[in-house]
Amino acid sequence: MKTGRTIADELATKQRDISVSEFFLKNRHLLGFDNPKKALLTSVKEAVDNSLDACEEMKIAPELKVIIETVKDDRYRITVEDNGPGIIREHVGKVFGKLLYGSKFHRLKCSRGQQGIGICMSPDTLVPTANGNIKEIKDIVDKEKKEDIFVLRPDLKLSRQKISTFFKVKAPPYIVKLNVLGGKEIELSPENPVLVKTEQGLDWKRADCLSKGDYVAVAKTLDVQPSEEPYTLSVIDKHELRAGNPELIKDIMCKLKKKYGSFIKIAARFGIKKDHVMGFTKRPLMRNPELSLLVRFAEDIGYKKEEIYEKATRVGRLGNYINIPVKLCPKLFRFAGLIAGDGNIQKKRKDRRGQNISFWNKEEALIQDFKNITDELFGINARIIRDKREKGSCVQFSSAVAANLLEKLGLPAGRKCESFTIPPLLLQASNMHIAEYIRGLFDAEGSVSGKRGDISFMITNEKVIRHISLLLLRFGIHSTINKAGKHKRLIISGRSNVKAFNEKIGFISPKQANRLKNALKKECKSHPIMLVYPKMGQCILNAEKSLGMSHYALRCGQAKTELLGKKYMAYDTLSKIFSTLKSKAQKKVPAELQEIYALLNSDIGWSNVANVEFAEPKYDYVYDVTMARGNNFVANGIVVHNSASAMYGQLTTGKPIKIWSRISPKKPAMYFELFIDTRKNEPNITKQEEIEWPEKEHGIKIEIELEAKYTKGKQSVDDYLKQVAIANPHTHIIYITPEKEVMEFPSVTKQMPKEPKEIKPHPYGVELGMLMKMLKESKANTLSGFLQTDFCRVSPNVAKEICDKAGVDIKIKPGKVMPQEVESIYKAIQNTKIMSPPTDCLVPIGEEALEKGLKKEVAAEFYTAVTRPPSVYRGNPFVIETALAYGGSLESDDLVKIMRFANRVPLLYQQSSCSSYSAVVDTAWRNYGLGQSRGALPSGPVLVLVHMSSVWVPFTSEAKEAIASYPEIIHEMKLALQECGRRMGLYIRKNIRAREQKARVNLFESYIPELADSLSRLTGGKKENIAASLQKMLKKGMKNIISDAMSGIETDKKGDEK
Amino acid sequence: MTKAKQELQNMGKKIVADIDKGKNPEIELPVRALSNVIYDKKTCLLTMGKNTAKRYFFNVAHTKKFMQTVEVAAISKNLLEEGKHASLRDVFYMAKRTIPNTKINVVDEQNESDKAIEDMELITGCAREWLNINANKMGSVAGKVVVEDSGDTIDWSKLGSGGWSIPSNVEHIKFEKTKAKYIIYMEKAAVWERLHEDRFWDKNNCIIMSSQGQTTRGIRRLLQRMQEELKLPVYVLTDFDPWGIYIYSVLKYGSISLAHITEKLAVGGCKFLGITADDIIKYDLKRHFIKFEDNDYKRLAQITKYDWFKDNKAWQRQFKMMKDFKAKAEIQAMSARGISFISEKYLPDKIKKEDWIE
Repeated sequence: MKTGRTIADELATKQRDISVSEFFLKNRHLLGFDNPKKALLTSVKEAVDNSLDACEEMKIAPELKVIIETVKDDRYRITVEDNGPGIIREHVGKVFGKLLYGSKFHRLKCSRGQQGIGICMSPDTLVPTANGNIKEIKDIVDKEKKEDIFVLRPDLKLSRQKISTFFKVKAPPYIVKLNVLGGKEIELSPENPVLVKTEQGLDWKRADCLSKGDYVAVAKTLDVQPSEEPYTLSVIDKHELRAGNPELIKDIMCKLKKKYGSFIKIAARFGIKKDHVMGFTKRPLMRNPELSLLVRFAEDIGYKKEEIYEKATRVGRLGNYINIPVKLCPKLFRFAGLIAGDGNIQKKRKDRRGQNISFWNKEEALIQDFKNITDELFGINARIIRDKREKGSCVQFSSAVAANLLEKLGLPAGRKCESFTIPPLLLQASNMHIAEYIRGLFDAEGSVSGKRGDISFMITNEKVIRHISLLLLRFGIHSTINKAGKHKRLIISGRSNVKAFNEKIGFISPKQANRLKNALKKECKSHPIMLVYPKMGQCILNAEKSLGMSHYALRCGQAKTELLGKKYMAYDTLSKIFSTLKSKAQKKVPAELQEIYALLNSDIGWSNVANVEFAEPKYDYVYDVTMARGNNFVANGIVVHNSASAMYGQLTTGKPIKIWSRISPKKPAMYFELFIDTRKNEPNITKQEEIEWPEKEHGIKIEIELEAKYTKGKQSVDDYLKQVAIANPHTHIIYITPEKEVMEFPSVTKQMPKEPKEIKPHPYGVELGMLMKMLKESKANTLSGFLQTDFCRVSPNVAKEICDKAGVDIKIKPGKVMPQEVESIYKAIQNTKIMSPPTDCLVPIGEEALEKGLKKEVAAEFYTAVTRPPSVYRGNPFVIETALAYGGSLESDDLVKIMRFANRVPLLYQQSSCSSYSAVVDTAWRNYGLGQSRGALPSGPVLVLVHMSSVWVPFTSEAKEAIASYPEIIHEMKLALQECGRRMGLYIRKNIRAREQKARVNLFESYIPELADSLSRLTGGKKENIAASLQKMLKKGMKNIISDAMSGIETDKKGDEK
Repeated sequence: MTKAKQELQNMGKKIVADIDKGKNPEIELPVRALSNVIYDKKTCLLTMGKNTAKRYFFNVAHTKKFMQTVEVAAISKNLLEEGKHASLRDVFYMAKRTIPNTKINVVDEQNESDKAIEDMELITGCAREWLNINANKMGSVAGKVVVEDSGDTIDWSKLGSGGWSIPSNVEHIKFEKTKAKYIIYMEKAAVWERLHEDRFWDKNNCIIMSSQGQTTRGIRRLLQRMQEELKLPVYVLTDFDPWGIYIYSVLKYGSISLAHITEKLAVGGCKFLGITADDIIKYDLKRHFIKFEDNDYKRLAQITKYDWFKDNKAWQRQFKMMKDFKAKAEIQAMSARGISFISEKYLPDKIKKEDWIE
């Protein structure tokens, strides 16, 4: 039998011949292996954004100084200084709120830092650890156990990573309950993203934005590192337990006597009675020694504890002795599995310590097997009781030690269904042990359906079933959980799953084994997890075509037309197709399918979201952990994002954050040092003193040390600050690079942007979860009042209309609205006509300022900028501005460069998923004199700038790197780009005309000798004379000739009239 | 000095005169477009209108063509002086060279030099054959005729399976003897081979002639000469589609692009023998229809509106039927009735019954 390991290894070697690196490179940022380069950028970005907002709020023209210094190889010190209003002690902590949690979540205002991150999950979330254990996240965080847990790498393999930081945060007012087909579920805070597969690729999606039918990533296999087999004796309770191996006792006692000379001396040495010691070897008081005492004896004469554990193979209490296996061997696990399935452990009524262990089953083979095992393990000849009426039999024996051992394996005496657990001892065992346990359990309690071709197992204990489901993942077996009333059913379906079960676990029971064999012959029910890939069917058909095979030969059971539109497919179907295609292509994966193949062989699969519901949390805190590398981990079998602050972890690993602040020339400057207690998510001021800061009237200086990497070029700090300067022409920035290079970005306008007004949310823009939160927190007395005061553009009439449509009492207290009612209110809002929100809250940069900003930082020939009138998407007002620079230092052979801004903040990552990118691609640039191939960026010496100013910029993900594609937004962007394009087109054409005139003269000059030559041959005239005359004409009549030439077409027409 | 050479030199001299006067050198030539082609109802021929266009050297759009025309004129004059003949391809290579210090070629592709040659025909009023520039040979002929070509006597009935291939210049051919009573000209070389194998010309005492597709100038001139000098009627056999009918139209009335030399090419008396819409019904060829495509419809609409077909009721009837069929048919469809059906039944019947369209 092949083990899981070797199969995995084989797959890995086979996979190496596929070049998938490029594919994964694309997804790298999504999986959060964001480089140290980004950490540096993000820190600078947050500090600069904060300073700019603070200055503008106080109407101070911002003057910033950014210094990056190298401390060590990859350690940098960032200093950001501004001339803002400074900060008072009470607000110092908020500097970090900015970096982590303190989102201005609910304030709709055009400011740079909005929409924060608060990512956490419920305390009972199960996190599988690398050693096979499965822990609740609460236990991990509360005990601060730096466990290794599973993290998805960019190559879509699950790797083991150590936890570096712990988070425990007050539970949010509502949480999202996510149910995934196949029975997985998880409770997350609404902001917590999970990995989803969309048509475009992989993406992180906020839990509250998920909807039914989305595909979320679930772990397909877990590669654990189990701990070694522990000694049986190290596990069981040793109280009053005695060893019963005479040779061992004799040996130890002899050696002990040799050492100390007499039993009296031994007794004195160990503080026990003489008779007690003597009784171990001498009659008539012959008694076995207590195990604990024996260990002490043995250690005294130089034995190791383990040596005793190895030799003491017979133990017991009060004469009731049994054999025990030296270590927790696989057989013992099978024993436990069988008991877990059909066994019973009961305290003896008469005997205080005695425990009856029995195993019931209808199948004779299992009864015999169980009897043999008890004999082998414990040396007990158990009784078989035949019960004719029930057509079953029972194996029974009694042993307190065996019962104790079972208790340690999660099977305490009494009602099994309630107290039954899967303890760490079991979880941490090797796959071989687990296989024995599960085989025992399924032999006894599992059932195989020949009809459906699946294996199922039913129990009422939900926790156990979730653990078993996670355990099965170790064998690459993916199971689903169904709830049927009180009972939970675990189902293993899908050919590859059932096959894996057969190969790696199997059955001992001949009846079950036989059924499984039959089930495998049948077409099994499809695999519960899918692989989603856009144009999957098309790719398969292409591969089929390129290999020149007929569709019939593929035998995928799907017609061509059916396959053509396929975007997803079950794993089994796909594996089958691949094996057929590969055999045809001499074991190579066809190029068309390499990406799909890589996804197929990854450690994750994709499962359908069955239900998303909002609920109030039933606990006080939510939890999260982060790792040094990677921003996600497997929890409840689902790949979830964590606090997105691997960077933050790095921040706090170093020195404290230093802050200098002065709020007024009249007051002294203050100096603070700050640490963050990540567990409480609170800042701790560790030092605070008054200092001299004479050169500063007011302002703040922040110094952070962090592990990072400094680079130049795209997505660098240099690039970022340059873009900030463009979008904020009123800002003066001095920047000193780690190479001591001083860059200055002067301000070019004195005009400060007008202060953004805060507006209340518009009803159209509010999400369901948000509505719940607002209702809970509202101070209004009635629902109608709530709608009118907490939203903009809601009049009493509109409020009434909404309430009427929703069928909810207008006078009800907002806090008392039921969740179902909230949903109908939400729907009613969408169906009610409400006036667009006010747009005076928007702060565009302005055409003039934007052009000035661009002019000072980009050397080009031609500049233009367009500010569109305000518009609205989903109840949120927004303004689009675009600008364009042409020619000059810009490369003419390259694709057009795009600079993207959201509320004046440069967006540096994820360009291609941003709506501005689509808008640029969709604009027909050929009309304006640029080259452009279909569906691509135009090419030419052009830089395009797109700015979106809005109270709520819809980012595609929490990383806030790309603007989501709402049709209204793209439409506005396109209109603005077209206007810029038209202006550029005019310029280009004018330019081309001048260039062409020059080219024309050159053309005539080169043709003259040719014409002269032909003419002389034709007429016999002198070549040189003709050429000279023509040259003379060209020189003399250049202007005439050229204008003549321009009207050449007209002369043609005149000819026609003749 | 021949007329052709004289005309070429006149053209050159006029340009030099312009240059000497300090005037932008120009060439005047008739406009070659449908708008400048006139259908003369009296002669039943297409002739060139009077619209002309001027081509200037100092004009970006004209300069290259101007240069090419003069260059080709010089080449042609040279050929005439040396008494040698060149093909269109030869002329292309004679003109092709790169202008020093530039990346510009005098001609880049053959169609540029071909155009320049056509322009020269217009300017000088001489067909290119007279300018010693020949096209490729194309087309075959067989029949009871004896001719003399460059001193050789050739009997068109004794040339084996290939027949005599018609040269592009037929001016010097002399007709010695003829026993044939009529000429059948067909669009398809394959059909010619069929008839030749069946020795149709022998059995029916006629001449069979074909080219592949559009009729070359050599064949047109040959047909014209045979019609006029031997007084033989010419029958045309083409596919039943707009393109086949256009072949007949070119033969009879002349073409737009060669309107300037129509008089020397048009075979005014030729008659359209088939395939007609009536033949299709009569011989049940509907089964072998090929469906009309978009460009077939377009071409049919154009042809229907031609001046010379506009008032011809017989033709309009054919066009209407074709439009209703929404399909076309090839001559070879006849083979469905037997491989020699065309030579043994179809053609003799048609000619006997004088079943043709004029």
